[in-house]
Amino acid sequence: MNAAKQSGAALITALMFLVILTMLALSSMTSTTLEERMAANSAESNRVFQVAETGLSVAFADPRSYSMRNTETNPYTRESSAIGINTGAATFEYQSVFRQQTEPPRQTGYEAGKAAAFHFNLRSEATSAAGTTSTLNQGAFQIGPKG
Amino acid sequence: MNANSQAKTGAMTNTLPATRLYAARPPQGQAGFSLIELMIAATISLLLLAGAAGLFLSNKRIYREQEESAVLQENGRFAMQLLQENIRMAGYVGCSDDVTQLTNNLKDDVKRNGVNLANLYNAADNRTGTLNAIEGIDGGGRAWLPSGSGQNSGRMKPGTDAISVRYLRGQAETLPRAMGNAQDGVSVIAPSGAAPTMADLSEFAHTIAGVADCSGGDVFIVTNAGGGVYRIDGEPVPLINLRHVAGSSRNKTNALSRSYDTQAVISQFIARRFYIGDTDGDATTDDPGLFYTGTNFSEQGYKHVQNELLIEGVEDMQILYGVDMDANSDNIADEFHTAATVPDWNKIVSVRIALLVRTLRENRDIQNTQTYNLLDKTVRMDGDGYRRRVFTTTILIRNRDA
Repeated sequence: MNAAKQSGAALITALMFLVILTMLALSSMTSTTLEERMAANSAESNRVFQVAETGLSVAFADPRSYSMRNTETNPYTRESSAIGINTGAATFEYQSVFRQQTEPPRQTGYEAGKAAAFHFNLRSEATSAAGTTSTLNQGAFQIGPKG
Repeated sequence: MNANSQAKTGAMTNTLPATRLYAARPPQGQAGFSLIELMIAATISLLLLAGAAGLFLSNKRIYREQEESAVLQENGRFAMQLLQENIRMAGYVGCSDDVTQLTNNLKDDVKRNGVNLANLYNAADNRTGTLNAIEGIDGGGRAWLPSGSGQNSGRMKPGTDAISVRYLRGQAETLPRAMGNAQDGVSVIAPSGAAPTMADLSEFAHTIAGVADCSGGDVFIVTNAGGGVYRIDGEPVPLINLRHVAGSSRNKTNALSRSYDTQAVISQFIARRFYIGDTDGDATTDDPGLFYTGTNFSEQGYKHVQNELLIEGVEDMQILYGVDMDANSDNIADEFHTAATVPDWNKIVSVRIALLVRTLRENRDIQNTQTYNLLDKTVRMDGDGYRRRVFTTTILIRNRDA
């Protein structure tokens, strides 16, 4: 009974099945990894979007956003680190630009001859550590005396 | 010589019979299997094979299930992302943020490349006559609310909701030079950065565009485009001039509501309708998917599409509208209504949306008799072989949030 005399295909068959199952497992692992990355990316972009929303809320509440000196070439800019808000893994930066002076919109109830609406464009850009960015723009106006 | 060859022949004739004798005997170590040995071997290998095949089949099934549920999740996520991006932008018209301050210069029979866009762009609110940022259908087979315009959306699956949004594309550009009067063309900087060619100009023809500043805007269809290099502040700037002439299936008048200066922005005016339709177009609606009609999603090659499939497997869509009921609007939704019961479409501040997404292939191993809750609707399955999942989200309509 030496090795040369043994016969049969058990090893080969077993190996073949092993290879097939390994390939199945590998391809399912690949697609799982891909899925995981897609989910992570979607969570990341969501997070960055929410941070940009936070920035916009802060910009909206910041009285210095509403100055006519915030021009296109010299906008008023502020970063989240300067405000002291913990936004987790992402930071935001907002800026305000004065756009235009118009008659007060109808729904505000102000008289057109005496008051005016001063329109600003608020823009908030959030950036995560991984480099994902989200930019939000919002128009805002403040009613003031005409002039 | 002769003797030598004789001897050789002799030697050969001597060995031949011996060889024959040897072949007649079974060689040592090469004996065949007996029948019993063969049967046992076959049985054992069959058992082993059955086990391995079982393992293989169950592995394959698991793989398929995983794949299907991954595709399901992906479809749901993608559908939600698309809807979120569009609904969030609804009503954006530049600085004024008020779609009711837009003047719609499009004719009621406006067409683009043969596609009738009347319902998309002339779905004016019956009461105020202004464009609606958002419209809805509550349960397929009815008209769009609040405009009451026809469906214009292929075959909607009965019982599903639909939503329609209109807005100015976000990447709006400020006008490089002021219009001389309200009939003048609206200028944009040539995207190529050089004097516009005929091909550049034809890109812009028949675009539905919106021009707006902080106190309102106009929507018009570009009838033709001209171009050239103009001097602005002493610098040569290649411009494309978008003209808006009146005509059948085009604009109502040659003039916009007023002339715009360099504080105004211009961009494409987008209108899209999302609904649940049937992917194979047969008499039934048992192959559902999310469809859209309106401005195409491609960044290049502006056009309008009708009844295009976006995502397969989206079986149901239910929508509730968050309405701010306060007299002094605080932009917080106080009540959620279906499209049929919304009291005032201009007071919608958010949209709550639920999608029922199913796997793409039927799996005969399962019987789905679950009940799914989609906001105002409950769906009970009759035991088919699809797995399903519900996706729900609430979207703030940014441009109602003053």
